[in-house]
Amino acid sequence: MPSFQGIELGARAMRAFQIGLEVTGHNVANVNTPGFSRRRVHFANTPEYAFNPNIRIGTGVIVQHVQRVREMMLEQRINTNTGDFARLDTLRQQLQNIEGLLMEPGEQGIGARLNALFNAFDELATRPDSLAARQSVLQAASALVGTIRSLHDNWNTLQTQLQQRMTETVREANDLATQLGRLNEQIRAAHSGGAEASDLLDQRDRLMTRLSELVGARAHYNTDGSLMVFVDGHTLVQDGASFPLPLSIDVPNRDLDSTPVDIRIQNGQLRGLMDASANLQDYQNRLNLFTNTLITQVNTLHQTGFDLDGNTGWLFFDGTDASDIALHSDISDPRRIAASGVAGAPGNNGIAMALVNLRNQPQGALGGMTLSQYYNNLVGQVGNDARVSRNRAESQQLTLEHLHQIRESVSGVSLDEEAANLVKFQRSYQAAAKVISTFDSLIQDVLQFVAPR
Amino acid sequence: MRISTYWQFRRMERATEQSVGQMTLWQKRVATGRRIEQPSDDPVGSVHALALREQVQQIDQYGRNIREARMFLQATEQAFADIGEILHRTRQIVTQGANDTNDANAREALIQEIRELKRRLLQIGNQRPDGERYLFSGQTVHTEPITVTGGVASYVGDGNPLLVNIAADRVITMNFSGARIADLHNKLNDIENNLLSGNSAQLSMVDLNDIEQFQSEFHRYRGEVGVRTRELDNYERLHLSRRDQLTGNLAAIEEIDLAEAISQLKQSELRYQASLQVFTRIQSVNLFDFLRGG
Repeated sequence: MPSFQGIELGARAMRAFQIGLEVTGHNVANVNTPGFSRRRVHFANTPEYAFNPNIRIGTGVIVQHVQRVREMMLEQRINTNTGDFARLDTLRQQLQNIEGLLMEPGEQGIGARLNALFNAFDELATRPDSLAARQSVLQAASALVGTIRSLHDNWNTLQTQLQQRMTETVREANDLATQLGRLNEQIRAAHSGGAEASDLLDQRDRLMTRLSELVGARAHYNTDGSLMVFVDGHTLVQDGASFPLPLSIDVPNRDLDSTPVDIRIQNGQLRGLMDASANLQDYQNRLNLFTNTLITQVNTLHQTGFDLDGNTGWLFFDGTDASDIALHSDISDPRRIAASGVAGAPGNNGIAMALVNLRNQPQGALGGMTLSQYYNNLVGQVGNDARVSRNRAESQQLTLEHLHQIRESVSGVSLDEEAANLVKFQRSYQAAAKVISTFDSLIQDVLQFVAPR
Repeated sequence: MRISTYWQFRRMERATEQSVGQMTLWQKRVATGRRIEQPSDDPVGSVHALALREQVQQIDQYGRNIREARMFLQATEQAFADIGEILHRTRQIVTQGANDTNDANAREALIQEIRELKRRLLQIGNQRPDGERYLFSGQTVHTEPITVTGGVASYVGDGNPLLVNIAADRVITMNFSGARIADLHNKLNDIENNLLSGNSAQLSMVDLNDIEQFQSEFHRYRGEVGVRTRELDNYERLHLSRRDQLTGNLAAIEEIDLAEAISQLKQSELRYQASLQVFTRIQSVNLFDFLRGG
């Protein structure tokens, strides 16, 4: 046995336990870091040496490696579920915005305003010659027009914002892909050196989760430690290279137009935004159809009627849909409202009555529904879509929460546990120091024999 | 299961968030009294509420229409009552005029009275109770219905019906034509002439009979006004009870049950307090607290 073997053994152990303390410190320091996996020190005994043919003696401990405690299968599931949740939660948020703009049920919505207009028509039918009744018709119509226009404008703004956010989402995903490629290179370099680059891996996992959240990307882990990322059939990241997603967003097909094949977006925020945009487009179309039917039906009747001065042919509404509906300049003077069906009979209410009856008239253009039924149906649809997406997002959140809990139970830092480790390594360190001082005193004893006093 | 420190906090945080969310929701419901703030709170209920509110508003409009029609019919009723008085007096005058014992002065008084009755009749026939519409013009509401040329009255209104919606499936006519008022005026002309010429035979044989005809005719009109007014009353009552029913349904859909909401609010407040207490309790315990100075 070499003379200083024992001291070296002690020193090695002290170094190992110091590493243990440092790793514990690192874990404690990162107790609040999102996505951090706790590190574990793997100790191994160093090779024995042959004291004599019959006896082999150990030489102490070394730190074999420091590893992240992480379950890769679980990570994959979390990524998939994160993409699902992002899709549903984005849709939920957007539908809530869309719904809020309806201002239903209430007195400010289109439903109440449409009623008020029909009531004003009925008032006009009762008093077809009255200027006051005509004035109320104009007021009610102008309130309805304003409400339709403002809903249209607000929805339109929302639609524009959705388009912008889709582009931003794809851009961010492409940025992340570039970073992921770079990390892949660094991790592979570290990997070939034999050491695990835990912090880089954590960082890469975080980026990957974010990518799943954005575009529902899927990961494939190679044996050399590198990560491949896919969106549908498109390879987003391979080794150090990234292949950006095109910005050609095709909402109706829920894909990105690309050659040779389009890239289908199944999940993530991007899909949520696409779904919201498609839903909104459908609502906008319905609002336009409703408005167009209102304009056409009212104008067709009104045009045939006679005003207070016996003139005919006036239009009531201007425009073709929710974007441009307005009161027609023909009726800027209330005398020109054509309530009468007979020239020179201001007490005749033929047209006013016909306008009132429009209220309960099934419209072919609206699939046999009346105007208000069609509108109420739209409100119900928006409400139901918002409701369903809220329920789905909530239940998906529970699933994701559950997976996070499992991951935390595997990878999360427990301060109690780390405190225990701290004590353990400190005591071990003290014991190893004691080993050194013991061997030191042995050597001193030997030196006392040989050294002159 | 291993519980990480972060998760311990996260779980507490979530529990607190949830109880705050519940509490805020019930606070808002108690404050506003509404359980539907937006369609997604109850999609089926909101569509139902929209339809109910529409019906309520429609009924309110029928109510206004009924009031309008009633005013018109009341004015008409008054007019027919006044015409009834004119006819009653005319009948007396005709009977008296047919009697040959009248002297010139008495005859002259009767003629004057007939002329006065004609003026009143014209006033009644050409009246505008609301200052805008002639009661008896029909649909040409701004045209004076009875004009007199050379002492002869002619009806120039169109006599067409003024129609009012008083229910979804009921339209009534609120006016009467004034054509017969013009005819009556001209009958009074005949009587005046017969009084002047002392044609008592004509007065007793023809005029008396005609006036009686007019009497029963206008009596019938008055009855008709009564029928229509009663119909208005009936529909108004019907609308009122229907409105109560609808607003009751609407409240059941849109509004909260206050007693239930308040008890829910209390519960959610308790839950919130409890979660806060657990939070502070858990937070205060940690192994590090028990390690002193290494």
